Amino acid sequence: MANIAVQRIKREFKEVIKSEETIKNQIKVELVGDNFTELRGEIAGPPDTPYEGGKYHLEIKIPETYPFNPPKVRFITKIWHPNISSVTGAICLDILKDQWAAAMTLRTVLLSLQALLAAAEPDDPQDAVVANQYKQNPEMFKQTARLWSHIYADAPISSPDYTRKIDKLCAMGFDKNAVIAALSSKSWDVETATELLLSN
Amino acid sequence: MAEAAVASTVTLPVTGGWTKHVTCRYFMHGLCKEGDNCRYSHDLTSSKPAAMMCKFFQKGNCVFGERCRFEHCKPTKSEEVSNPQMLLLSSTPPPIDPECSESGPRLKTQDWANAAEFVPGQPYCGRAESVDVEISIPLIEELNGDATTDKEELRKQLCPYAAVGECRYGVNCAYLHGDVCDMCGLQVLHPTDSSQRSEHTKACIEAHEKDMEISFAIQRSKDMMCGVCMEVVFEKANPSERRFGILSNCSHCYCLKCIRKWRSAKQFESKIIKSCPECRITSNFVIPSEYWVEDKEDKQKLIQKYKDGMGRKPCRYFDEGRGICPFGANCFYKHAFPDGRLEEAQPQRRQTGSSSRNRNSRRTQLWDIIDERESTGSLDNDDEEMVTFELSEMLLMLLAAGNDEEVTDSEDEWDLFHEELDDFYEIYL
Repeated sequence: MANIAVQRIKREFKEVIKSEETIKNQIKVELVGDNFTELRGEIAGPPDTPYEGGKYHLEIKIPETYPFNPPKVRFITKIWHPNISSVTGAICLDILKDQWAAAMTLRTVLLSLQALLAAAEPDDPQDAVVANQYKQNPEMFKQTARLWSHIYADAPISSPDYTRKIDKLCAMGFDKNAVIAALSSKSWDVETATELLLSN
Repeated sequence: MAEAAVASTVTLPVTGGWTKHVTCRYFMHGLCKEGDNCRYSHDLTSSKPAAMMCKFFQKGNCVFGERCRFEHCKPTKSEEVSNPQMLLLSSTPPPIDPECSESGPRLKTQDWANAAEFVPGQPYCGRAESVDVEISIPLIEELNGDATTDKEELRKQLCPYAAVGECRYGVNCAYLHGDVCDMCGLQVLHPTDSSQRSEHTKACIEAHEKDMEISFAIQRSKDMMCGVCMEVVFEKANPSERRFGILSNCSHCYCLKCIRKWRSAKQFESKIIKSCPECRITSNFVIPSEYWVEDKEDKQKLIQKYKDGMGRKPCRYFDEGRGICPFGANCFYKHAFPDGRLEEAQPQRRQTGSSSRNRNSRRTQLWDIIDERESTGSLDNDDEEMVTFELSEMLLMLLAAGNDEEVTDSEDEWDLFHEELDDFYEIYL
């Protein structure tokens, strides 16, 4: 990897570790391997959002041309958010694409992602189903996002009603992740979700 | 050879032209490609090449020794006197040759073979004219007479050695050792010449101020970190990279290499890369600088200096009037014709209206595009972007014509190009 990229990552790594946000357990970064091309990030779900209390893991890949090109970032932890794919974890965030600036760092990227969790952009969605729900039924979106946080990101608060529906379908022999995805995308309607699961 | 030729004409009968009596100089050296067909004589006995004396041998040293093609024999006394060539070699000025002083044309033509030879490093003493020795002697005396007055003059001149530190002659120096300047600590102040004193003091203060300025510049630069590579610019491993790229419109710090690389990134829109990677304020150009400049006034000075510097460089596209520069007379680079005449400004260029369509044949396509947009009268934001886009495309094509070595130049020109656009819109929007 280009010298400048390695040097930058080393510095940024230190910057994150020493940062106020890390001390407050808001962001975290770890090395994967020893060549600074891949890192594991972690952000805390921001307060007063359905993601509160959750821990979100991120895959960060540093391109050869860093910092002249943005790092490739993806959510490893499953998340229900209009700008993040509920299937792949791909993120739709301008600074990770065409609005990148060479002065941005791992820290600013992680903080931007945290900000994205607090302020979704449903008009520029990554996941159309989630974005639709966000606009049509904000309350259901919140509940769903909270449930995903509880199941996948260790957030404390859950929804007993939704959990019951999940358990019911799981008892029929379906995979839990598939059940959650189906119910979430079908507005927690057990019948249509079952149809979806059976058609797959 | 000339001598030989003259000798031959006298002694030998004419057979096949006069050249046959002249020894072939190539044959004399051992090889003539003409062989038997040569128009010159290949008979060494008749032509007597040995008649040529080796002047080096006569002087005492010939590096060719035995192999020398000229005769190695000491000249006889009579030869020495009659031969002006010999006289030239001696160190004493040649006495006036009575033969030479006679200005008869007959004599001159007859004597052509004995023409004085030109010897590098020695004054050429033509064929007939000799150096007038009489005049030069009093000249030397005159100089000697000046020497005594010179000595007093020297006493009034500052010793150049003492002025830069030390003079090994000390008090015995023929020159004047000045008073010590408080600023520079050197013996440079003339004891009596007050204007010299004040002038030196002034220069010393100026130099001191400059030094101070530099030390302040170093002070404020030494901890500055590039926002892209995040290295302290003055501590970069490669000394040639310890330069700042100052953005015209904001005060974020970058090293020249990084900011130029960012600004030439192809994967982002020009609006993104032309803006500061930290604050996103668009800057039209980057000014290379050895020191960090943040102060508004200093920056203005730096920008002016940069533009002036570019104004002295001839524009590659204008090419002394042979080519076309997309910026016309507004280009920051020099538009001068080979005779030094500068290209005239074209003040009407930005006139509106269709009548101005063909007003200037030298005008480039680029401005025509702008004119077109202009004349429609609807230069809104979308159009502006469109123009920018089209212009960018064309400029890219122009730049692509240049070679890799000129990348940095291209970048500057790219920046200028953007500045041009800005000027344009400022005026028209």
